[in-house]
Amino acid sequence: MNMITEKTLKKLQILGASAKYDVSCASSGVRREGWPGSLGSVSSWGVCHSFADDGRCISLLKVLLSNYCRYDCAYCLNRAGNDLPRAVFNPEELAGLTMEFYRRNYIEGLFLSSGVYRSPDDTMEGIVRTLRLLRGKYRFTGYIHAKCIPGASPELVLQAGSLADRLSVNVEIPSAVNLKKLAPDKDHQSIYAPMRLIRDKLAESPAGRGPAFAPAGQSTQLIIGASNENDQDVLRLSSLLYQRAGLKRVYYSGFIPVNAYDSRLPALSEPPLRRERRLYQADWLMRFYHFQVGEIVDDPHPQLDLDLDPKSAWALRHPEFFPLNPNRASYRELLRVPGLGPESAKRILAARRCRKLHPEHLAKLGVVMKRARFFLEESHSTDIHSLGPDKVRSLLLGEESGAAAPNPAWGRALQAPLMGFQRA
Amino acid sequence: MVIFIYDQTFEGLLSAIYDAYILKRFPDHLRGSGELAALAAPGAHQVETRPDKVERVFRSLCRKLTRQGLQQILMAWLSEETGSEDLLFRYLHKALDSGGRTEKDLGDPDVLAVWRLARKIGREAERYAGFVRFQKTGQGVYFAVIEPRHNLLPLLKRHFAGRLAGQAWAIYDTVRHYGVFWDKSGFRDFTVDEALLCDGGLRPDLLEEGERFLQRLWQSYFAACAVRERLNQRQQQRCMPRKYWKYLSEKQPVRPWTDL
Repeated sequence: MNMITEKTLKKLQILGASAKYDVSCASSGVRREGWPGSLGSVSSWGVCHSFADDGRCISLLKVLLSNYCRYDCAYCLNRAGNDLPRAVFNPEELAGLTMEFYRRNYIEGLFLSSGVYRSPDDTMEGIVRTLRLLRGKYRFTGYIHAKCIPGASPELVLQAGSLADRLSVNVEIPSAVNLKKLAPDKDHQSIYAPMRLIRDKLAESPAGRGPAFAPAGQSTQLIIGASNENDQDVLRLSSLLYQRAGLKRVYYSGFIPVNAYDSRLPALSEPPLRRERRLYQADWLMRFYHFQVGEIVDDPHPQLDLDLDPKSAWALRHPEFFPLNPNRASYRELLRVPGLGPESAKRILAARRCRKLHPEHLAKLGVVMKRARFFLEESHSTDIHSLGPDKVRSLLLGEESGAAAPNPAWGRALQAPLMGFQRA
Repeated sequence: MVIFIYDQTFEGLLSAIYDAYILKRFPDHLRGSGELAALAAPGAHQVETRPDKVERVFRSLCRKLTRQGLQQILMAWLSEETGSEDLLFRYLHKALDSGGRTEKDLGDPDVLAVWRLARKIGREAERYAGFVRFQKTGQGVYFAVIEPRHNLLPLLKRHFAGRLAGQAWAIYDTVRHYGVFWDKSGFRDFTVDEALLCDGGLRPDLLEEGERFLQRLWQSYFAACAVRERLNQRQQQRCMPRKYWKYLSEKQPVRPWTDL
């Protein structure tokens, strides 16, 4: 069976485990139907196929091509200096395995990354060969996310982009100084050069015209808590990456001290999961709620409030913006109400054209009234002005501890639209 | 009280709408012809399902509802929830009488109820799009068993036909005792002798030789990719409720794959 043997099992255990600290899992951002003779489709909202014991969505087969690495980055489990089982997939073996999993509906596609085993180019070539087998020999039209190895030649990056749906180059450490300290073999230049190359190529090939180049765009990952950047540093960088580099997603990975012996790293008793969750919420505000980074964090408040979601924190700092009238407020204004999201805001806009909306309507439209009630008119005398921001804050905190909201990045990311269904 | 008796098909529902407009009499309840309650309603109107009625009503609906609105109705229909036929009848009646904005009027309790019903089945379908697990049979057909709350096969078959067009597959609904078989060019409904099923799939002797090993590979990957430092089984169960586990190969006990 296409090179899949008992050795494959051992390799899969090693190379699956070595890839697990890369938090990206999305398979969204592009939509594609298969065609006759091909196998695979991509739905624009992504599909979760399983949920691992850490609660994370499993969408793609996420593996390393090799966990041999010549680099010795302090934050990485697979660093050269670590003594651990190592393995390399043969491209044919990995392509075959991906297909077998896909045929059984275990996965949406492949997420392929790698340690740098001989040279960046050798590694990148292995990745490109695997992708070429999938797209060519197996006529696979499902989702592929490929990692670009810093330092690989532009030619190989472009080849990967012509085969993959999404490319990513991981920034990992937000500031250049700290990167140099923790990963002496890397520098920001080797990361931002391929990112720029991909951005320019994407700009050249607008969606739908000519052969598609990474139609789902590019993403990156920042490790949080391995170095001393604050939330303002992190979010400003993300904002730049979205605006200047045109990234589709920035992932935040709360640092897990895999190499506790390395004195360059902070001693953490547990990974900063709460901070990570707040960063994702702030990231969401920038991407879907029309917030500017300066509204979320600024010099007086360089760190996110760990106890409160960033939108509520903003609202408490800006009582003058409220209360809003749900029958008159604009879409962008509604998005600023804690407890309201893009979906419920759109529903309000549609429903209020037909009739005047009252608070009991809002709850049924999916608005989380427990939070929104302080910020809307007609909520009787419970709005932020009669209660005062401090009182509202303590009431919101009561909410927060009661319901542990799922982390958007680790659970299911976006509400999927209803499945396409037409009359036969 | 006005009662209509119909054949419990979607076409029957549209025919009932047609009859109501002709008779200028709108039922308080629809009853299936096989239901006991139908016997207890002697003066009830018997709806005859006819293609021309269906066609006529469907055309009018197309003028009053968007594609999303039509889709919502079909999905609410597939939910098979009790009372959904009466609800849908009221909704269609409103839509046909309206100027064409009914589906947006979520302040209306019936419109809201249909929207919620459609969303509910949409969510279940979306979950199953991920959780269906095919097993390869000795004949080379990829076979999966599901146990959905709503009638999902009409939704799932489109999803999988777009995705796995190049292989023969079949999905069997153990609640409604029917399945859909894709033979690489078209669909066919089928039923199976349920004695052939076991442990959320087909009996092991019907599977292809390498199947057990493939499942073992997937189980190993599933175990390997969890980050130990962030174990969160509550989140896992929230996103993937236990009722699905029986059908997920990664959640089955790890068995030796060489014993076959």
